[in-house]
Amino acid sequence: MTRGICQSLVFVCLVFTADAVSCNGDEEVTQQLQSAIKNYRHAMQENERDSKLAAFQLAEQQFRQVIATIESEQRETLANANLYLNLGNAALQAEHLGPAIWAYRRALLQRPDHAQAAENLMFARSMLPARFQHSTEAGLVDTLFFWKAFLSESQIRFWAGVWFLLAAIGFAIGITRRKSQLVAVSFVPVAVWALLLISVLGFPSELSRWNAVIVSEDVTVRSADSINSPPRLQDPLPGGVEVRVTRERQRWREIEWQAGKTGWVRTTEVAIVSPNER
Amino acid sequence: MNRIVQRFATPVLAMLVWGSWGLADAQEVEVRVQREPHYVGESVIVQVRVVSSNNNGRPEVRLRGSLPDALSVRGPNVSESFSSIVEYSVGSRRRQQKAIFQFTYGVSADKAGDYTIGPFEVLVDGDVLKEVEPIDLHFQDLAVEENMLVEASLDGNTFYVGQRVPLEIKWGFNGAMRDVQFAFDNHLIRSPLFDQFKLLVSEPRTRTRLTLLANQTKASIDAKQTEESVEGDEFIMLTGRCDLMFDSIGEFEFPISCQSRRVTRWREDLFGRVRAAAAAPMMAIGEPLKFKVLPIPEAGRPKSFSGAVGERYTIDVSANRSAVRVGDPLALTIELRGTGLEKMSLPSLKSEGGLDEQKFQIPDDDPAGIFEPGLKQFKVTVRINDESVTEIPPIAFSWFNPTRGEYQTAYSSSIPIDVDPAQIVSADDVVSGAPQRKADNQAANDMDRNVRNAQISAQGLNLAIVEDPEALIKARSLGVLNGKVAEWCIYGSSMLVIGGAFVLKRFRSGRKGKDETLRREKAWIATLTSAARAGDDPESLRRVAEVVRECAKVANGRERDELEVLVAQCEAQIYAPNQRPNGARDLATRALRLVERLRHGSEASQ
Repeated sequence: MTRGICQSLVFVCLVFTADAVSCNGDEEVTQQLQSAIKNYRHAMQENERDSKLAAFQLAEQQFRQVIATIESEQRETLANANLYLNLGNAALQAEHLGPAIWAYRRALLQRPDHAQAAENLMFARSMLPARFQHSTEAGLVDTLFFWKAFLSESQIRFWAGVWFLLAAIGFAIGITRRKSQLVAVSFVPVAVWALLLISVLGFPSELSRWNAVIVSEDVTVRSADSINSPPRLQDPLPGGVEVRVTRERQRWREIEWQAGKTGWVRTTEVAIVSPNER
Repeated sequence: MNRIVQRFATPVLAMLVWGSWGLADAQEVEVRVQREPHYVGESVIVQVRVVSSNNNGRPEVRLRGSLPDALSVRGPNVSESFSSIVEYSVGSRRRQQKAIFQFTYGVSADKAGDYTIGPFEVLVDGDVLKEVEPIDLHFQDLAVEENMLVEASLDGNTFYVGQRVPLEIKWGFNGAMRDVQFAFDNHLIRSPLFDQFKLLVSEPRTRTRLTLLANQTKASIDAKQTEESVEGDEFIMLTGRCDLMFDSIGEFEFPISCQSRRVTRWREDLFGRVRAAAAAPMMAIGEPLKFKVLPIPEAGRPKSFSGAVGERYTIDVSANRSAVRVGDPLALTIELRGTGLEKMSLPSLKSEGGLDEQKFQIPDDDPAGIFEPGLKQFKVTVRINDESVTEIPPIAFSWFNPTRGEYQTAYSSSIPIDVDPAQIVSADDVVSGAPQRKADNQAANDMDRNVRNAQISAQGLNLAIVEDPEALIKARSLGVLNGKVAEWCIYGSSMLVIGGAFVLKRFRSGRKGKDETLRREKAWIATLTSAARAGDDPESLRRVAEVVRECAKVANGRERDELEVLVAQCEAQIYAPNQRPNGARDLATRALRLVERLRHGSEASQ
């Protein structure tokens, strides 16, 4: 029985910690990517404003297509963080602040320690009007749960599960072998599991609280999920505002852009950052 | 004209005299002087008491005449009290109000001798109502107390201006402990040294403190108590330390003295506690302090010298970033560590191989800095003008070391820095959509803000992209970790592991019970078989009865009834008086059959 448990553990570890899964480098995707990079380079060297914008927009579109292709091939898996960074940079320079912020956040979702994405996100946020900026200052909780700076929330939840599994194995061996010390020791991974889960569920980060981004420019927020309902705000919401999706109905999403301030926007006007929440 | 004057002068004069007499009658003035003896250095209380019986206004007292040089007067401190008396006599009622004003002066003399102060004038609304005669005071020198001593010492006798020097002060007393305590409670150490230079006294932390008089205010310093032998006498010594900052140049000699009080008579109160009933002032004079304060030498003065005098200074410089672009602000934090840094200004950043003015844009203003004990921190924002800069060069900080009598210089470590050309990424390169976003006033404000933000934050933007397609296509590892399926699998596996462990435990415990039953049944059969062979032996019968009893415990239904009957039959034979058991073999055989049946029944049920 113990041997069986160990075999299960090895199997689980092998399944879930496979370090690198290369996706099939489709020829078409590679060509598209090279073209996007070329366009981006060209845009950087361009001096004329309109040409520059057009080149950046083209690069953005191509990066987006590459990401869509990769993610459709790899179900439940986000594309590379650097690819999202490239998309963010192209979108930012193409005057698409909303998609840029969304892309940077996707990059950070993949790799919370991605310094360049974090820096550029900070810059992009600073371009928003002050009343739509959320506080992102690190507090005591962030210092205490330091691993949140390196691991995404889903990764933390996964590792919490691994610790729980370790505890279960220790507990199982303890009770079958009648070793009370082993049962007692198995509470250590239980404590780690609890700590990891508390860090995610008890103290959600600011990023996870504002789980979506307005990706269209000048979005009219309505008081109900109908095109005929009156606007909730006098001015439309600018692209790039980070919001929280609270409810979803057919072709409409209810968003909260500040504590207690909610309204409805079209589904296409807001993009959710974490694919698990789709 | 003269007629008119003569005609009116007499009545007016008469009225003034009457009026002033009336007022004067209403004011009683009394001068009280503290009882002698009066000692040099001790304040003598002089009180002018004005009693006013009518509401004639608030009186004032003025001291007239010049004071002798050796005499100083403090005050007056004014206190006032009011009283009201109602008198009844032969049906009439008279109310009398009285106000008492006390003007208290403190008079002290530096030298012994006879002095006169006064006269005192009492004024009401600016008019002199009364004048009090001058008073005579006789000050005598304090007797030098041999049992008390005071000493002050400096570490050396030649110092430099700006130097901070530790000063040690000792106070001692030879006598009984209660005399020492009384003298210590009343001591006050004086010296012009404390007034001439800056006395740096930290907040006392203990209750044992020496009290110094510096610039007419008392200062306390922590003291440590020891016992020392001075010329054969045992003294209780209290030693305190503070710092002196020399801020003037010259040769100095400062006397030091201590005044205190000695108990001349002790009294025991009702509760047996001994208290001082009478005390007399006493004085101790210490050796004068002689030293020389020199100016800081001009020769060899480094350019980075900013006035620090002392030892063991350090300088640390840190930058907020390691990579900048030409023209971007770079915040430098300069930390100086050492003593006497309170008023220290920022050392020159340019001097002695520091920041090159051609390559760095250095602000002209002198930042105030933040002071903490032992640390002074300056924050300076510089800009790099040249992309050839590869490091922030060492910044020099010089000070004058009074012990060595020379200047010393410390350098900060150089800071490597990457400088990119300005034209690669600038605010212009970052295209902002916000200015076109709105047309109203708010939009205009936002636009201004966006432009400002772009200028400020462009330094934190890196628009370089990853250009390796292989690296971009390669999916991030642990993609499976992002799925909820993985979590469910793990928790499911965990539950399976725990559940499996419980099942295994139960299975093992069940098998163990079965083995035990089998072993027990075999033992029963063996016992009964041997009893059946043994014949009609009482001991065999007892063993049969025991086995049957055990069987009855686990048997059910009809078998149990039969077994109990068998037990009864066995016991009837065992306990039958004066009779040997017969039929034991038969009972054993029956029991054996029953056990066999029981065994087969349980096997069948399983």
